[in-house]
Amino acid sequence: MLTITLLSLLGLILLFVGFLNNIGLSRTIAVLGLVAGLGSMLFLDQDILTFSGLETQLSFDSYAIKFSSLILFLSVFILFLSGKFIKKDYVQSAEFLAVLIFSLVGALMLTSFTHFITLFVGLEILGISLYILAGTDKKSPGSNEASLKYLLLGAFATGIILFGMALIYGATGSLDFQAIANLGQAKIDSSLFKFGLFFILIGLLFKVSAAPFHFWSPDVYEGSPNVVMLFMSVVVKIASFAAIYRVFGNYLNNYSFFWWDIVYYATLASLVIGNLLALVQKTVKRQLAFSSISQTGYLLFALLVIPNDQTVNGLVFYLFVYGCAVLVAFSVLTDWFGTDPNVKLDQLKGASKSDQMGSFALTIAYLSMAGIPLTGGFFAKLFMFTPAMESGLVQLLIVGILSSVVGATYYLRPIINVWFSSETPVLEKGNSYQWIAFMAGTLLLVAGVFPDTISNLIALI
Amino acid sequence: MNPLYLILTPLAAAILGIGVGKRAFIQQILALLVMLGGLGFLLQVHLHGFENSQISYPWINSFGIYFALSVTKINFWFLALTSLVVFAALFYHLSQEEDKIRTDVIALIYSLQFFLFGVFMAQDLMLFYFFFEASILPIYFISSRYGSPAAERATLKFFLYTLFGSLFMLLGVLFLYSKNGANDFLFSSFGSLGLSGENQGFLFLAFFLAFAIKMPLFPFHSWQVDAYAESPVETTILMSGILLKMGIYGMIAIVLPWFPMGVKEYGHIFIALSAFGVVYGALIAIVQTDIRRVLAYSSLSHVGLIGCGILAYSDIALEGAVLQMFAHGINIAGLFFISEIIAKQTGTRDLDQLGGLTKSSFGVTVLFFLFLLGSIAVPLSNGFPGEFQLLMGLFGYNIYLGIFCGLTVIFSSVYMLRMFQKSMLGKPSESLKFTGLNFTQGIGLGFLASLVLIFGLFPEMISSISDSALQILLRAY
Repeated sequence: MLTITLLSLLGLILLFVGFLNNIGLSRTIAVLGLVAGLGSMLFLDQDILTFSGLETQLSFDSYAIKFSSLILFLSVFILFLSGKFIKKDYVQSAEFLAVLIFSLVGALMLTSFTHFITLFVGLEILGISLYILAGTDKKSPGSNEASLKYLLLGAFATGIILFGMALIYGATGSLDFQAIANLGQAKIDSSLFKFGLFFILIGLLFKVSAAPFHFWSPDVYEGSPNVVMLFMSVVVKIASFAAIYRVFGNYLNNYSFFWWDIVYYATLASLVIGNLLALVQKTVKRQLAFSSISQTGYLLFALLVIPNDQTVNGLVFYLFVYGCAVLVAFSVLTDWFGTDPNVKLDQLKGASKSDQMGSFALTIAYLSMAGIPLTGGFFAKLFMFTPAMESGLVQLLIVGILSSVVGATYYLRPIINVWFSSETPVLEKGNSYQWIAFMAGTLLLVAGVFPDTISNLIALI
Repeated sequence: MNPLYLILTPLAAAILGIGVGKRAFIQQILALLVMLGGLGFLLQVHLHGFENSQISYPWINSFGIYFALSVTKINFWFLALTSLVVFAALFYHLSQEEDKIRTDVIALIYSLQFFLFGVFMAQDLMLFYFFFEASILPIYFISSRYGSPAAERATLKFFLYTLFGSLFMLLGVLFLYSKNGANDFLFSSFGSLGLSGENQGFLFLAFFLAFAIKMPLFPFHSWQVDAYAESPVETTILMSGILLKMGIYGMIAIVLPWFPMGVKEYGHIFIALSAFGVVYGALIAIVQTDIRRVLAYSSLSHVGLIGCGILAYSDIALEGAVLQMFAHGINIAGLFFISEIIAKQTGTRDLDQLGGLTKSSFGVTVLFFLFLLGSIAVPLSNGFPGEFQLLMGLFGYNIYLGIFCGLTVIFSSVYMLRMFQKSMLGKPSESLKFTGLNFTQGIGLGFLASLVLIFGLFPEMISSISDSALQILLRAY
C-alpha cells in the first residue's frame, strides 16, 4: 500500500509540475519518485499509510514484492528512455509522465490483489492509462489507430473478465480469492462457476497476449510510440503475468483440472504462431511484437507445472531477463533512430561500423531472447523447461524446442544485419542512452554466466 | 594439477591477444606458449596421476549444477588435440600480412578454445551442454564476418542445424535430470540410473542426434560441405579439426556408457547409414574439383568410419576411433592449412587450373605429401593404426560391413592422390604464381607434420593412456 500511495501522489505532483513547462524537472522528479518507490517497496513495511478496508484486499506478500520491484526497477530506465519522445513539441510531457506513473499503480495492484475487486481495479487503471499512452504520438495515424484498437479490444476483454467475476460471485457468493480457493465440491461443480473461471482465464490470456487472443498486440505495439511499446512489452507483460499466475497458479490451482487444458493449448498456439509469424516480419517492432507472443508461450509453462517457490522465482528470472533484453534493444534503437516508430530490419545493416558498443549490446540482447548460452536467456528458458520436464510435459517441450530453433532464425537476422553487411547505414549517432544498453547488457551477461547471483537476489526478496 | 589452469589459459590469452593487437610476432609467441602450456599441463597430469586433476564448485545451487571439471584418460587426447588445432588455426591467421590480422578473430579463437576445454573436461552434464552450445558462437561470428558472401548463409545453416540437434540433447539432459533422484547433473550419478530400455532408446536418439549433426554423420551432413568450403580457413580448420570431435567425445563419454540398450536397439541402423556415408563421401570427393570440397567430403568419409567404430561396441574399434580422431584432427588441419596457402597465392582453389606447384616450392610438396599419407593411412603414418583397428573392429562386427567400409582405403588414396597430382605435379601453368611457405607457416606446418610421423611410429603413446579407460567404459555395458 505504501508504494501505491507514494506513486499516486507522485502522479498528482507531476501534473502540477507540468505547469512549469520544464520537461527536465518533471522527468527528474518522476525518476526520483520511482527510485523512492522502489526503495520503499524493498525496504519498508508496506502496511504504513494504508487505507482501512483495503488492507484485506491488497497483500504485499513476497510474491507481490518480487514482481513489483521488478516492475519499478525496469520502469526507471523506461522513464529515462522516454526523454527523446516527450521532448517533441506536440507531446504533452507532464500528462505523459503522470499517466505512466498512474499506470504503474495499476501494475502494482495486479501483483498484489487478494480480491476480485482489486484485480479489476488494477486491470482498469493499467488498461485505461495504456489506451492513452498508446495514442500519445497524436500526429501519427498509427498511434491513433493503436489507441483505438487497444481501447476497443481491451474494453471487450475487461468486459469478459467482469462477466466472469459476476458468474463466480453468483456461484459462490464471494469475491475473495482465499474463500473461493477453499470451496466445497458442490459449488465447484456448478456450471456458473466453471463459466466464470473460463471467462476470467480468457480475459487474462488476452491481457498477456497469448495466442489465439493475440491479435491486438502486433498492431498496438507497432503503432504506439517506441517507448510505450517498450513499456507494454516489459512492464505490462510483467504485471499481467503476475496477475494470471496469482489467480491460477496461487489461488485457483486446485481447479487446474478445469483450466489446465486451455492454458496448455494457448501455450502451444503462442509458441507456434508467435515464432512462425515473427519469421516474416520486416520491421524491428513488429518482429519484437511477435517474439513477445512467443515469449508469452514460454512464460505460460509456469502455469502448467506444479506451483512452488522455484516456479515463481523462475518466472521472475525469465521476466527480468526478457525485460533487460527488450530494454537493450530499445535503448540502442533510440540511439540510432531517435523516435522513428517504423525502423525496418534492413535499416540496421552495417550499423556496427558506426557504433560497435551498441551493436555488441544489441547482439547480446537478441542472443538472450533466442536463449543462447552465455546470456541470461539460456538459463531463463532452462528454468522454465526443467519443471516442465519434471511434470512430464514432453510433447510441450518438443514444441518449445522446435520453436526455439525457429526463434533463433529470426533473432539472428538483426545480428546478421548489424555485423555482416557491407552497407553503410544512416544513423543519428546519439549515444545518450548507451549507458542503459551497457548496464542491461551487463546484467544479461551476469545472468548468463552466474545466474545464481540473480536468482539468489530474487529468492531473497 | 588443477584443471582451472588449463581452462583459464585461453581466456587470459584472449585478453592478452586483444592487448597485443596486430604485432604478429608477439601474437605468434603467445599462441605457441598457449599450445605448449596446454600440452605441458597434460604431460604433468599424465606424470602425476589423473586423480589429482579434478575440481568441483557449486555453480547454480537451486538446480544442483556444478562447475565440475576433470582431466580423465578419455578426454586426455581430445584436450591435446584442442591445443594443437587451435595453434594451427592461429598460426595460419598470424602468418598473413599484419594488416590482415584481426584481434577479434584471435580473441574469438581463444574463447573457442576455452569452450572446447570446457566441453571435454566437464563432469556435469549441464555444464557440458552449456559449453557445447556456447562453442557455436565464436565460429559463427568469425565465419559470418570474414567469410565469403556465401559463408553467411552456410554458417547460418550450420548454426541452426547444430542448435536443432543440441536442443534435443537438452531435452534428453532434462529427462535424465528428472529421473535422477539426487537432483544434480553430475556425470557420476547418471551412469547408474538403471533406466528402462525404452527410456534408453529415447535418450540415445536425443543425444545421438546432437552428436551426429556435430560430427557430422550421414545423413545429417548437409550443412558441412558449404560451411567448410565457404568459411575463412581458420574456422574451417577449427570446425574440421576439433569442433566435430565434440560429437565424437560425446558419443564415447556419454552415449556409450549411459545408454547401452539404446545403442543396441538403434545402433545398427546408424552404423549402416554412416557406413554408407563413408563410401558416399569418398566417391563424391573423387569428382570434386575444388580442393576444399575434396577435403570436406574426405572428412565426411573419415568421420563416418569413426562413427561406425564407436557404435560397433568393440574394444578394438573404439581404441581405433580415438587414434583416428586424433590423427584426423591433425591431418585435416594440416591439409586445409596448405590448401589455403595454395589458394591464396595462386588465387584459385580449382584443381583443373592448378598444377606443377612442386617446381616452385619443395617445402609445400613435402608437407602436403606427409599430411596426405596420414590421411590415406599409409603404414608408419599416424592415420594407419587407427584406421586399421577401426576396420578390424568392423570386420568383427559384421564381415560385409567391414568389406564395404574397407573400400574407403582404396577410395581415399584415389581422391587424395588425384588432388595431389592435379595441384602439385604436372606442367606448371604460366599464370600461377607460387612462392611457397613463409617462416611462420613453415613452423606451424612443420610442427604438425612432425606429429604425423611421431604418432605413426609410436601410436602406443595414445593407446597406453586411453585404452584402459575405454575398456572399463565398455565393460559397464
